[in-house]
Amino acid sequence: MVYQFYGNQITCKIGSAITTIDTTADLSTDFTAEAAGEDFSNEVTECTFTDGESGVEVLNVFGTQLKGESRPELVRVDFTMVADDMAMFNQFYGSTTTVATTWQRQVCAEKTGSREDKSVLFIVTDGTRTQHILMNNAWFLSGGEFSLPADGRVMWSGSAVCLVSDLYTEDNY
Amino acid sequence: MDIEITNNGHRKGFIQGHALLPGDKMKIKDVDKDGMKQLEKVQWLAVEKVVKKTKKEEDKTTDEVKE
Repeated sequence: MVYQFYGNQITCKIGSAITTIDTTADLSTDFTAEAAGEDFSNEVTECTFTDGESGVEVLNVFGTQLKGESRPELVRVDFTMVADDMAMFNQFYGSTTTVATTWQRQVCAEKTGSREDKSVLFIVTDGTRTQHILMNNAWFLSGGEFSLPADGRVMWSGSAVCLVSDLYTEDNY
Repeated sequence: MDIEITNNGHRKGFIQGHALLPGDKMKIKDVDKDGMKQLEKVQWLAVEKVVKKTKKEEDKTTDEVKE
């Protein structure tokens, strides 16, 4: 029997980085306990998750062939979501300032050397079988790209990356 | 200090092991300065210090209720 999961069974949460990944609790419990995060599931339309590829090349020597490895690329997730408010934008630029009582203003500034570590958690579950994928110490690559089509809705897309050694996955079946 | 936090966003948020729905409030006791700074960084959270009433004020409130 091959289990299949569907889009409405996915939860996507983003928060601050988890200090220590606990070995006695599952990743979702860890996230809830430490990450001070938000649930973006109701806004995400698509996430493409790419594991860090490590290339293998052939090295020809006179007598034989050798395999030569390159070290893994970054693990990457690309989000596409409904542009609901600035919450995802703020994941990159940090805190906002309240101006004119009711407005939240983001004063953008260069983040080189001071990017905040984040955690990105995906939960895929049918209620019984659950998979968790966690990117810890992840960095957002930009504040996001807004798409404003004349014939559609306003969408936001953005990407975050982490090292292979900060990627965790688990399932319970 | 004791504080009260409120989920001012419109998504479910997670803080110190608790899931807070939009509008939910939670009290946290004895938060130090570093803890306060961390909490104030969380975008969707409104953080308020809980001002402790003095004994005199508490008595006054009780008297008002009696009346």
